[in-house]
Amino acid sequence: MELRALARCVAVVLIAGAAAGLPLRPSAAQSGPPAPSAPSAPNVAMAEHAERVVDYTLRAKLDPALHTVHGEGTITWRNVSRASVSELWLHLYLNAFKNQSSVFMRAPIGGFRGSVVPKEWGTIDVRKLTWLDGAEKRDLWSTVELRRKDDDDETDAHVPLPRAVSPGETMTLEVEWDDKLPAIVERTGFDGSFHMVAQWFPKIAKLEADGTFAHFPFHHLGEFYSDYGSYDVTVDVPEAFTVGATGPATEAKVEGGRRIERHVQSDIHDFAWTAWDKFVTKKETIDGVACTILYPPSYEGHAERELATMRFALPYYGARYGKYPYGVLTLVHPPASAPEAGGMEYPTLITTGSPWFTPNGANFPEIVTIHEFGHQYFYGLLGSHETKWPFLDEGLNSYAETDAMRAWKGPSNAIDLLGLGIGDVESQAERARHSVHDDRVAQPAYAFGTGTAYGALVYSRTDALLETLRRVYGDAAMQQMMGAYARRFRFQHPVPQDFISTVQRELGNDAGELVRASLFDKGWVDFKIEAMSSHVVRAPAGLFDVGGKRETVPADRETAGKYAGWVLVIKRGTLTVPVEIELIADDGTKTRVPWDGASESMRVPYSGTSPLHSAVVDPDKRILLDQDPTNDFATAPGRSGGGAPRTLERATYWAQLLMSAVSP
Amino acid sequence: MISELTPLAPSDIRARTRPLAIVYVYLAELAWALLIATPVHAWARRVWGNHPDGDAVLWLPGGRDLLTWIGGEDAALGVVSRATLVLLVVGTVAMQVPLGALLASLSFSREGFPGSAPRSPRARTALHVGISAFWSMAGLLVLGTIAGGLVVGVGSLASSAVDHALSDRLGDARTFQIRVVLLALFVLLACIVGVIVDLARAGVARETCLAAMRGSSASGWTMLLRGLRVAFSVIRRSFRTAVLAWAWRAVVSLVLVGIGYVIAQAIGGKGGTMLLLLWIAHQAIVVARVALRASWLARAVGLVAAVQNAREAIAEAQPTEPG
Repeated sequence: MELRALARCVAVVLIAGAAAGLPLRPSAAQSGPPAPSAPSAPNVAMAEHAERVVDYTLRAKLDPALHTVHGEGTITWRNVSRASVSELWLHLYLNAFKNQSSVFMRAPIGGFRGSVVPKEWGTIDVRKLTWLDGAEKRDLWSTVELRRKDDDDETDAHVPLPRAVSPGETMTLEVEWDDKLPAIVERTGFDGSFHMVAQWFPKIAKLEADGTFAHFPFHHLGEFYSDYGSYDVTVDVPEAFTVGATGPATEAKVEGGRRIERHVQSDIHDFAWTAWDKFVTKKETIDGVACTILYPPSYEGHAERELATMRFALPYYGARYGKYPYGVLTLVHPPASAPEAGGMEYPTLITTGSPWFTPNGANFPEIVTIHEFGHQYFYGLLGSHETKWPFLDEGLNSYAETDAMRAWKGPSNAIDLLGLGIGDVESQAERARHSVHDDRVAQPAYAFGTGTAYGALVYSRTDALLETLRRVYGDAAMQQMMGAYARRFRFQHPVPQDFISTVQRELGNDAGELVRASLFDKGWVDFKIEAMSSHVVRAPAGLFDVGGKRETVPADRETAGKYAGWVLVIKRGTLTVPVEIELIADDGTKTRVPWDGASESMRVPYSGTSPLHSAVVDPDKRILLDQDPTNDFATAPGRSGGGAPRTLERATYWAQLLMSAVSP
Repeated sequence: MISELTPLAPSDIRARTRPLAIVYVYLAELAWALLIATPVHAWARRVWGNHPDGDAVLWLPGGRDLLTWIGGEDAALGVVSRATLVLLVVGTVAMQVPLGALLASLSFSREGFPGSAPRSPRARTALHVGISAFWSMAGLLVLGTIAGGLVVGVGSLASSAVDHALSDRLGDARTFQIRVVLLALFVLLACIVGVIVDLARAGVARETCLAAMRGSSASGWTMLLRGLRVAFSVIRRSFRTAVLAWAWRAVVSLVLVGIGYVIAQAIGGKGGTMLLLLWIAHQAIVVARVALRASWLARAVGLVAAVQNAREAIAEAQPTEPG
């Protein structure tokens, strides 16, 4: 979930310095975290289309009274691996909500979405799975292994094939199934007449290059991973219902009291749709994309805020991560009673959400919208394995979100209300700080002990790491790196090493190692000012031969107006991050000293015409990974800092107001 | 000393004639507010006081240090929160003494020098009344808080029920509006409870003082009941007058808080002269609010005095029973 031209110059200087292996050394004029520069496209080739592996031609009929969907159609699948394939794996994820024996329901995970038992169970029952093998029709469902031994989970079905499918060979499957949608849970289901239909069809697991399938049961914290292809889906709902679906509607008609819409979209890896008889629709073409927002009655204000978000986000993301390649985007704002349907991404369709009364200045609708739109890139166009490496979609996307929010709304971009200014990335960094030592960031979703750790590390820690990179290496360099990664791996299935390699290539080996250690080794860092000293410079005492004469210099003879001292900064933790130390003299003079952060401590020397007053590590707050910002500063012995007068003033005033609310 | 007091006629009861009493109440409130602010201030000073910019860093855009401070795992947060809450509650109860003193000061006068206008009661005398009336006043505070809380609680339940009943039919926005209006009605009702409690406070302070002047004594509970009785009498006879007299002053008080917010936004007040200016502005607002409150209480005392005087007149007019 979570600023211009000068910064570009700053970033160029910083990149040049970093490339030359020099320690980071911004000048005084470059103080403050770098502002986002105007997006510019990295010179990296970008695929126009995905490799077409699987095509779904489906027809779905909704019964909104029973909350069922009857589906049928064909699946055309191509063995794009280098090995023969003698099995298929089908994901039947609606069965996650079938009973409490599913992997999803029995995982003892709290602290994240989907933690409630659905009020009505959901299932997907396959009625037919037939392979049209030349002239022969082979029934595959009769031999299916729906469950594993001693495991009642039915979300990951094994389908042995009667004969192997050779590399490059295409197979066509006829399929028919019935869904019973659950009461809204974990992004899918119904609430009254509102239906959010996701993970609703039998879906072939992602085929890897070695001929194996990346198949896995639906886990509480896990998401998805699929092959790209084309989807041609005809949705059939009662006439009074409005439909929102992946891809553009190529045909739409009303027939026999039913609304029938055909949606066709290629270069995607999933398809979701929604239907509700109370949706209000608003349409606008933004940056060449036909945007449709479906929202509950009286949410006009929210719809406008979400459209305003897209007016900013579409061109901004296009410039940063490559142009959005689809012609349509549908935003679904679910009803207030179905918040579990909100905040989710599917190709060309995202769901948003936030209460009706969310005031301007509390930018939650904007953050959710921009986050879910960002998934069109970090999930949609970069089809990484979301369950195995969730940081590659949620983490990178959280960075894209906070980067965009700052570029759009300034530093106080999450809350800017009643004098309180909170930034999205700052709140992410704070959330991450508490879980740094708990778990690795780069690990499968199901390996996290709690949903809280999953959220704090996958989303927030990755965001804080990348924002630290941006602030240290500069906005332009970061933009180049992220843009190169997003373009190079568009329509592919990148893995962590692809991202780390891109960081190494674009920002250097030190940055690459910082990223690797932070993600894989629970890397952490904490800078601390351990001690400091300041004293008058005294001339050395003793006998000195000067100009043929012997002079006696007494002890304690001061050198007029000269002071010296030092600040001892220590680095705790395992990460190496370049940082600056600011020395502040009594007369207000400030001196910045860079430190590459490679050693465990640095004694920073001071000399000046005034005694040393205080010192601050990372004065521009670039290192969001810093574990404890409260030890980043100190005052010299005998000196005092700024105190806390404002807290006293505010607290006193608020106490007066509170007391007078009850009695004088 | 109480013997030198004379009850003021309702038409002579004016807050503007008691500026010192208002200042004393303000100072008492300021002193306790500083006490309440001490734990959080001490905590901020310990964590951020050594920063060259002090706690100004907490209020920088983005709020990183603020989040670090509040969101950190510093055990001080729990201690500070509890200490602040305890001080707030104790202070609210303790402030019943200056409140009683203010009411006594508003209700009575003492004779001036020959030929001069009556003077305000001595601070010591008013304080004595405030202390004497403390238990009744504290009882009223507790009763008023419970009653007001119950009203708001019932309002919350009712508005929640409305939300469940209507949201499907009317949509979220319309239901929310109805819910807010319903809740506002209950909050208004709670405010009326507050007005009644204020009238009862005025009655208690006046009765306590009159009893002392007569040399009679009554328990705090009796005084509380007498205060409530007279408050309900006032509400029966002059509901509109009482509520309007409270309402416009309450609205002005709220506007003053809004002005305080605007000033804080404009000045910023991270430190130095600007912070001093902000402190002065905020304290000016607090003084004005205390004065407005005193003005309302003076009106309440006037309404109560009119009822009490009428009752006494009736009692005196009744013929003595033949022996």
